[in-house]
Amino acid sequence: MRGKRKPAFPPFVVWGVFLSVLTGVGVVFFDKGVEEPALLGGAAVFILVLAFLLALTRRSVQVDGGGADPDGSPATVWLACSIGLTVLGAALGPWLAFIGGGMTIVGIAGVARELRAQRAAGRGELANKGLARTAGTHPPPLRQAEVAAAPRAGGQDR
Amino acid sequence: MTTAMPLRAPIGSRRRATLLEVLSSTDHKRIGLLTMVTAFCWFLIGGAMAMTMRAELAKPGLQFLSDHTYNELFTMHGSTMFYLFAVPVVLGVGLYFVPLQLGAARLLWPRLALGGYWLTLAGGLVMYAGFLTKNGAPEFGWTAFFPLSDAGTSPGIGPDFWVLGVILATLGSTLQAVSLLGTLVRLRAPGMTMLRMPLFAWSELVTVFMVITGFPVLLVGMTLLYLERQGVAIYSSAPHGSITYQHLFWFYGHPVVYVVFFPLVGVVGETIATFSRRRFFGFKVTVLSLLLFSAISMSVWGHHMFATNQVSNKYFSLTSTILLVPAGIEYFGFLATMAGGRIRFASPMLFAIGFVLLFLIGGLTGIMVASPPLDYHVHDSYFVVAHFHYTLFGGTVFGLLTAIHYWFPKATGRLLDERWAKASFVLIFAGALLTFLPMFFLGSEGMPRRVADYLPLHHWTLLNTLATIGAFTIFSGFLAFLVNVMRSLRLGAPAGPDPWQGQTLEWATPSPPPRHNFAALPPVRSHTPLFDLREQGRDPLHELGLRRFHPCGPYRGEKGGNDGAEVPA
Repeated sequence: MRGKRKPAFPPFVVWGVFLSVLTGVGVVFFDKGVEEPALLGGAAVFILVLAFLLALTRRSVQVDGGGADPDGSPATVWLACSIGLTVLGAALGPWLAFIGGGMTIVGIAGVARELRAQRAAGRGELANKGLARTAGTHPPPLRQAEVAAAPRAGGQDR
Repeated sequence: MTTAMPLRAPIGSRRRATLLEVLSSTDHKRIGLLTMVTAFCWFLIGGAMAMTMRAELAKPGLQFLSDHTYNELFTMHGSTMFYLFAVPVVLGVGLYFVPLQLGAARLLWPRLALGGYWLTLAGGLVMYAGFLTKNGAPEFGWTAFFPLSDAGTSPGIGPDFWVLGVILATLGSTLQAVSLLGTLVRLRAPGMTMLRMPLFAWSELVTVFMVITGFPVLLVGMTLLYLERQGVAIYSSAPHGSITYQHLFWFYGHPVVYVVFFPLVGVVGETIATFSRRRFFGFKVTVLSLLLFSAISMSVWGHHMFATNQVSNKYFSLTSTILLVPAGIEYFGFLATMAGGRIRFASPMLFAIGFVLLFLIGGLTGIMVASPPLDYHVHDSYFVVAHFHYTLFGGTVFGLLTAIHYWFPKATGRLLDERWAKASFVLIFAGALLTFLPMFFLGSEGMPRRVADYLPLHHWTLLNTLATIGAFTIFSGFLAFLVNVMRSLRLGAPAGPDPWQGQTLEWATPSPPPRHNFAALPPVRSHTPLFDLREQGRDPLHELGLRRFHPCGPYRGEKGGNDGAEVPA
């Protein structure tokens, strides 16, 4: 369930504006190549784009933490280790890269299976199908209404 | 009148978790603990390397290490401390405590955090695999400056392993940071606006900003370096390839110093507020200063390159000096909070004060090296080593020790022994001063860094001997700390949910917290919801139903754990 809208993008905007100002000041000084303005300006643009996307989605806060995360995800561990092997294959030879690549595909399939089970569990479809353990437990559903009814503590923002 | 939301779901079973379940858990607390414990193991390995180097430098001419081995050691010491210890550990602390502080039941995208942990671990193992190769581990320092790191100057597969290891570890840390960012944006408790997030959560937010903007640049830089080493002319074909490499590296390399520092500013701020029994002074201004501080710290990377004369020295000197302003605001906040409070000098507070004092030395000497003329004088000398160890040891290590002493009861359900904690504080604090202060004098007298031997000039022998004695004093302090941790895990007094009368939401749940963290949440009207209740003369633990909880044992589901279930007192 969702609470009232509490936008998260303002800190992104503030940070992006700070970076933009620093880039702007830098334009006066930068005289040794393109790396300086490119790196700093690029970071500013990146964070401002992120802020814009956040503002566009206007996602509100999830009150209950939502969803049914699995208690464990062995497929994720498998996937991460296989990515490690694939990267190591760059130094040790294609044979290891191929093994790692194959394991990565298996890992991706495993994660996809977990996600599918998780979505199904979210719809309550797996209650008796033996996949419930994969889908994990739901967090306690905290109800916002009760919070709203609670007395104000501290009176106001400090 | 109801102030808390009741528990509606089962918390978990009493079955002991298997190793596979622990290692593949998506519970943010387990991922955070895994990340922190693994990072601390790397810290011990990196620390052992430091002790070996200090022993080598205790007197001139000892030479029980070859030059090659010494170079390997300082390279792997720096690499371990940054890539495998400092960055992962601050993210690990965030993974554990940010959801708790936000009143969330979980992490957003926990698979990213879990996968990130394993990638970081894999990166460390690959990096260290270099020791098993014919030419050994790399000798080019944790910065791997080009062309020192090219295949001609640093041949062999060991440096290749190092580059790949850095890529994996950095990728892992970035994924963990993305998971944290999503949690901060999406999973705050009802009533928790951005400005009602606690200081630690804010400090993690600005840290994550820096990670997502700085770390990908290192990934690009290291990937290009790897290709260069395989014969693809990238840096070597560019007009100023070595400078381009340094830009890419330091755009990560300077912010990372703040990445490993900011979260601990938040921890120290909260510790000081809790043990001063008042709210953090100037909270909103401090939050703004954190944003400003982190933004400016993205713009100072060029001061590492003053001596190349290939960067805009005036600009980077200006921005590096301006850092004083937000840093000063934060220090003012620390001091003003203490000034108006009734201070309890428990061990977390002592480590927090140690952080404030030691980082002050690092910060002030940072202003010195922000001036190009002074930087030219001390560049590549022991002065710089002393400066950054005051920031990293004083900031990161003391901040981490503050966090451990503050949150150990929450994570384990047991209190650390105060006598052991205070003994370790005295040893580590005194050891830090004794180790790193002499390095300022060594550096200003011209002793270069990264040397395995030196001439018995001036007072160099005495100063180096003092530094070595200090290093072993630090070592003894960490021994005391480890003994305390091991002992307290079994014999420590039960902590209960809120041993310090904390101010933020992580104290509104049993210790250690159950799988989904909270049975009930207090209303959030400020960044200190528990303090608000106490200020009204109400008992948060009573109102949240936590008085009924027996003090907890080890982690939920493991032997002795109480699973967060109610136990008769």
